Amino acid sequence: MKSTKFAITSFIAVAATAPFANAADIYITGSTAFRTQAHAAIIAAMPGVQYAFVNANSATINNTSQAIFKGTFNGNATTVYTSWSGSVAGIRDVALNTDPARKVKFLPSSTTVSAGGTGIATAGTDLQWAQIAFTDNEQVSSYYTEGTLLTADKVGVVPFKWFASNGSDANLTNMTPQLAQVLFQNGSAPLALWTGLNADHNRFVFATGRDPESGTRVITFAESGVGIFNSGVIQYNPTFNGTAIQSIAFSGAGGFAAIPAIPPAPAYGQAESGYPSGSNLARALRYSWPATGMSPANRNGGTFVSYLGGSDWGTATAAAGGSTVGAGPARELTWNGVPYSFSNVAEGRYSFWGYEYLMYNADLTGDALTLATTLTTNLQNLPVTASPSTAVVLNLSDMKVQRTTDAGVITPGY
Amino acid sequence: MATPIKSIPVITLAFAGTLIAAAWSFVFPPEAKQPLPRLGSEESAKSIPVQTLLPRFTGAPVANHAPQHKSSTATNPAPTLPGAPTQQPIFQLHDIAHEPQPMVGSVAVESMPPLDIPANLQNITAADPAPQLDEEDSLTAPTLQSASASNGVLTMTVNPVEPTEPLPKPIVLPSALKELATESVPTPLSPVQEQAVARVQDSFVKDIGGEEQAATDPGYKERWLVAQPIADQRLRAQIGDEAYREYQKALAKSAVTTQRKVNP
Repeated sequence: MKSTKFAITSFIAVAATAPFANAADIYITGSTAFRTQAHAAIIAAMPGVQYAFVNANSATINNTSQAIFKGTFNGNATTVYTSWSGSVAGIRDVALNTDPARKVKFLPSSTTVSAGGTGIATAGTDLQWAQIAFTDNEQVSSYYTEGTLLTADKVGVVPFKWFASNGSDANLTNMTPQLAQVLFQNGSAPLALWTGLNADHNRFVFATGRDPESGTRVITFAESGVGIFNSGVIQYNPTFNGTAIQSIAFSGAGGFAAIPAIPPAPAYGQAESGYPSGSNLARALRYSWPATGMSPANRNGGTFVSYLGGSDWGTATAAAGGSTVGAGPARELTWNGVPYSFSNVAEGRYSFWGYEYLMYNADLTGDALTLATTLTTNLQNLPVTASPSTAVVLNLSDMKVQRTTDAGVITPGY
Repeated sequence: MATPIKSIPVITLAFAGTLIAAAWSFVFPPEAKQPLPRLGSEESAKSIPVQTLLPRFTGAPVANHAPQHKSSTATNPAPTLPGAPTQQPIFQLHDIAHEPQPMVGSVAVESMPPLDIPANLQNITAADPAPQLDEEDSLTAPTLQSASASNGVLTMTVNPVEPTEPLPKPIVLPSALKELATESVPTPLSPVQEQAVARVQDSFVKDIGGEEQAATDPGYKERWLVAQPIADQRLRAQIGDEAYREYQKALAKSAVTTQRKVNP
């Protein structure tokens, strides 16, 4: 028995590394919110594939920042590399993928892979041009519309949720466009706006979130009326001490890293910046706020409110203990009084969602184009979700409603 | 008995009231007043305002888009009926494209005193056709066909809009393509938001098939009708609710300023 297994494994290993006349390397980037589904689709398109992924911060293949898949596709030995840095970054890096400055960091081709997935401690730094992007938003919702118009096909629906950080006031249960606008345009707002209690006038809610290269941020600011291109956004960056927040800042030494201009996009200052990945943002929401000792004092007993895509909900809400960080789970909020549920999205009652797109340059050819169209077709033809209670994205076949643009009016599809 | 009325979908009260007054004055001059039969109970005939006897429409009002009835007396005070609220009731003109069900209604008029009828309507009789509405009104509202009185119950019959024929949508310019006269109205947008306006303009042009379009191509109109709301929704999403509101106000102010320059 053991010898048979060894023989099969050896054959697969040899096959995976054997020289093929048309060996292909395909590079995919974009949305962190859809990476779980993107990885599943790649694995499904490459039977017998072996893979590896960066497992820093206890990441799995579902929420890793980089992965590599080695196998056969379209009859050719194929290696697919993924590196997830955000939808807007993905659109930019594919649209400008002849610019040497727009190369993306991937795991190296020499990465050891296995059938069950090998964890890699350190992220790759192998610079390559990305050919395909998964994005949570339309290209027109980014700066990168000049010159290259990417081919874009809808491949799914990505819902988002608002969260309040661990230990937040029990009366903070809901978000509205009004609250989102006052919070993210000022960086903070009195808790009383959520609770309606006079006693909460001097307790504060603080904004934190993703950087401007995130599609999750694009859809959040479009849906909430903050505005995708609102240059007055303020988001705080926390530092931690044990399981609690130590300090927060939107500028200076403790603030997020500023983002340099990548024309036609302007530079973003520290206040407008944010977390480059959803998983780190989800972890930040698990830390509690100290009741005393923060400076200035009105930050004591504070709360973060932020937004996450489905790939990061589990990280934010996992029970304390094990490999989790912080004091415990963050708490999900309703949107306009409506709780997230699979059916609330599918039927149009919960509006905090966007379409997922697969985008590529019109001049894409060969197995990369074939893979792009195969992934698109396979994702578009997924059947109605069998276990909606555990799903974090919706298939197109699940939807009973539709919208024509990012955060557009929802209309019946029946 | 009152003659059954086929349909009264929509009409402005000002116009209706004026016509009622005219018809009343013609059919029942002051010296010939007599008790009138009522619709329903006596109490309801006395207390229910006229507008509650007529159908209501829940579709989106189009008053903001429709021109005023220049040929009617809409700007004159409408005569009031006994028992009606002193607040002048005004019917809103509504888009009835999605309200195809036929409506029936009558107006009970009881103990109506002499009415002060504007001079330009003194000669209107119950059998006279209604004043002509302008082109847009004719597309969005039924026209009054006739008014008559029988046993003191004034009835009006209007031409109903065929429920099977959806009304044409107006061609509207997306906000991103409207010109802001920045020499007189400063833009409320930041440079980044101005770039967003330009991108939405580009996406709209792409959505309608490009710049070189034949105005007579029906497909061009269809593409425009689809692309226009998308462009407006995109602009709102990109610049945010507050900036979108301010931009709308600036565009409106700009349009007034431009109009005053043309026609001081």
